Amino acid sequence: MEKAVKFLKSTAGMVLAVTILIGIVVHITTGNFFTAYNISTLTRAASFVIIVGFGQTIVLLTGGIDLSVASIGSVCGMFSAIFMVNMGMNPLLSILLSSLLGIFFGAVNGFFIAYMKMTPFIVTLATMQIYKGIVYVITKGMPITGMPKLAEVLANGVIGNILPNIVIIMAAICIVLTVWLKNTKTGRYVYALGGNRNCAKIVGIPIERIEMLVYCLSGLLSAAAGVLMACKLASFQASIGESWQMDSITAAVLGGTSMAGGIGSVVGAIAGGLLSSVIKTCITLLRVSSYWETIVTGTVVLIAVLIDVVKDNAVIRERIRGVFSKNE
Amino acid sequence: MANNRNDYVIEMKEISKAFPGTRALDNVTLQLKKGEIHALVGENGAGKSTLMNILTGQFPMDSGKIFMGGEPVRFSSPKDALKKNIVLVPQELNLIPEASITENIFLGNEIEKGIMIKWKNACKEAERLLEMLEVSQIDATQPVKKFSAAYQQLFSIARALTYSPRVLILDEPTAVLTSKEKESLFKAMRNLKNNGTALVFITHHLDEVMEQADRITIMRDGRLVRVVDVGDITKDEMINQMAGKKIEKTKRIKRKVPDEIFFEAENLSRKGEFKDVSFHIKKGEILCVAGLVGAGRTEIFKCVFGITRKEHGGKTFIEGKEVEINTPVEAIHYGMGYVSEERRHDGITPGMSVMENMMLPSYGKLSRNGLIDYKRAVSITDDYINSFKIKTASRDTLIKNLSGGNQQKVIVARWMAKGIKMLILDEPTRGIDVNAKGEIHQLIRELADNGVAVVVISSEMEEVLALADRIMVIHRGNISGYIYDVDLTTQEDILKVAFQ
Repeated sequence: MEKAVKFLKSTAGMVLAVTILIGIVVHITTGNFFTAYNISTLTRAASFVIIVGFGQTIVLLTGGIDLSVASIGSVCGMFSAIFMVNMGMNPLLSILLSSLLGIFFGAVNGFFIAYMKMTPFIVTLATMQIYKGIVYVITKGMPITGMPKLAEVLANGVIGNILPNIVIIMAAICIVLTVWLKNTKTGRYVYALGGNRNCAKIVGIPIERIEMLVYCLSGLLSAAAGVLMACKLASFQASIGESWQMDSITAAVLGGTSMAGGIGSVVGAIAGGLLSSVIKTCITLLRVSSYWETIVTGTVVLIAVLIDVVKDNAVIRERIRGVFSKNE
Repeated sequence: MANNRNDYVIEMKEISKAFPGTRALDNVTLQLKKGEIHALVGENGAGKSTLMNILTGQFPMDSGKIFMGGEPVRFSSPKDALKKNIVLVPQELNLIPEASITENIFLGNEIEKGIMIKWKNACKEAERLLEMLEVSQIDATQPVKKFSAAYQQLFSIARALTYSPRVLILDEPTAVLTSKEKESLFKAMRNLKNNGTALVFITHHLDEVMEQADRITIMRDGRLVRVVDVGDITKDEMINQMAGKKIEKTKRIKRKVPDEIFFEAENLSRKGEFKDVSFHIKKGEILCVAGLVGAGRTEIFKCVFGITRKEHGGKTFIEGKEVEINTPVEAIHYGMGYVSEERRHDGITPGMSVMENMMLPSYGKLSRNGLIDYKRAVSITDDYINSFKIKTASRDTLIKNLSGGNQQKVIVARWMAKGIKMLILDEPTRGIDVNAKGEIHQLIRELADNGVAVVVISSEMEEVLALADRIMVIHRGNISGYIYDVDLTTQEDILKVAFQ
């Protein structure tokens, strides 16, 4: 009980509450929100971004950033399609293999960031372009179609008309990552590194290894999302997950993860990812022009982060109070 | 009376200033005459910098008055002081390395016509100013980073000259200069003095004071001790008055130290920081490292702990065996711990709880099957909170909400929990109130009683005298001497060793 109250008081908890509240309001207005179909479609679509958001969250926790998540998803999705369609490999094996390839692409980021001391933003900006380029060079922009049925069922299937397989996969990853971050030495080091790098160094945390690890993990999770996305669509297209880098950062930040590092949780990424997804769905359900979608999402992010800042910063709270009292 | 007042360019009268926990300035008066070199001397923490920061508008004062040519003035920002031609050349160089000499000299004070900077005029003017400082034949369009620290010091002074100073404050201007460069700096100072500028000369080098200054203001513990003409005082008298006769006797507890050496260093060097330093520390010994700020004390022990790398040729030994320590991870492996002088910057992780801050290095030891045993972590943390009397609402309170003294206790507990054999503490009680200070001193003694080799780097002579089994004095990157019989030692003795 105590834990539940604590969760609801956290940013992630509040965002989740707001998400459900929006759902209720829209359900009352349109009567279409809490239907099995809507919920399963919504959560299935959100899960991909959330899985990428897990990786992004872990990177942000160390004070870094990974802009290459979308490109890694795309390039690994392509390899899975090549393995299955062109080489006729067993679907499960190719999903596993191409997801693991993500570790390699993440390790390239990690190498330059941890050992060459380059800025994460620049390194991942560059590899983002390179990985995207690899996809276009190999596929020449053409889709790869004809994925096996098994792969499609795995990624697209829904249990009992309401619980998509991908949601189960996402939840399982979340549990593993939460235990890792909370209950293991390396997990705590991730937070310590983002909390104060100098202090982390002095207490003997192997900074380079931790940084390498988080970019590898981010690579793995992006790859898994990309591969599953290709399976879901039953075909690979170069444009898979194009907006993931920004969407994953949005999910992480909405979930209370600090861009400065040291604060946040993977559960937060679920709350954040669901909120952006719910906003999109509601705009459709309310028959508002979909052109409004990005405006609303952007505004919500601004408000959410503002609330977070105000919560912890007495000076800014005073300033805002000053503005309002002047008007009176 | 009024006439008398006008003799002084600046009069700071009865200035007081308190910081949380300390009284930095207590009724200090400073009077500067036109065309004099006025030395401001005192130990670290005597209040020299605070006084100058108030004069240049960086800090507000709590009480007191400043008069300029007899008129009361008030500076609420450095800009105000600059407008009245009061200029400070800080000890730390703040030049932009990539920018040219001219750009650096005129930064914030550009020569403009409309909105455009007149670079040609600026360059000429920069070269003229540098010539005044005995620097000639220099291309002022070159980037600053191409020049030595000594030249950069002169560029900083040239920048100050662009404000045509009536009062020029030089904070440790000779720290990075060779004797030849010092001569030209002193010549430049005398030129400025003859032009009517009042110079404030802050330095730890008393010989320079005796040679260059006209008058001396001596400060101690935030109070004015004496203002004196340079001819009326000797160097030894000056040292006496800087140290003062403390009324309260330092509570010293005599300890027996076993004769086993734990750590030994041989010929440690780092370019520009310290050279060929050799020393050892015994198990259960408290070795205090005294010396002036900037003498290289912190740098030596950062290197010992592997935060910075030693130069080739230096050797380190643990219990007689040679070991290679290049990272803190390795130092910790050999049983060392380190408490930094900058608690906020690299001591604590502010957004983490008291428990996490205490347990961070111990997580490996506390893990079972890869999972942290939080039950044990909780019981260890609670034990230390009780035995160290750490004032915190709970073990889950964020450490940033604790007072400085309690944060420091958490950091010491961090290393005790890890089970170390040697602990390096850099300025362990800086900015900590008197009570917590005593408690931390007691913890340090207990640590040593348990056989831990303890290094305490401290600028507070009282602290050194209260804790040390042996004092190592560092001066300009070298060990200038040891003091073994601490009981018979006074603060003056330490200063004498430091100034030799």
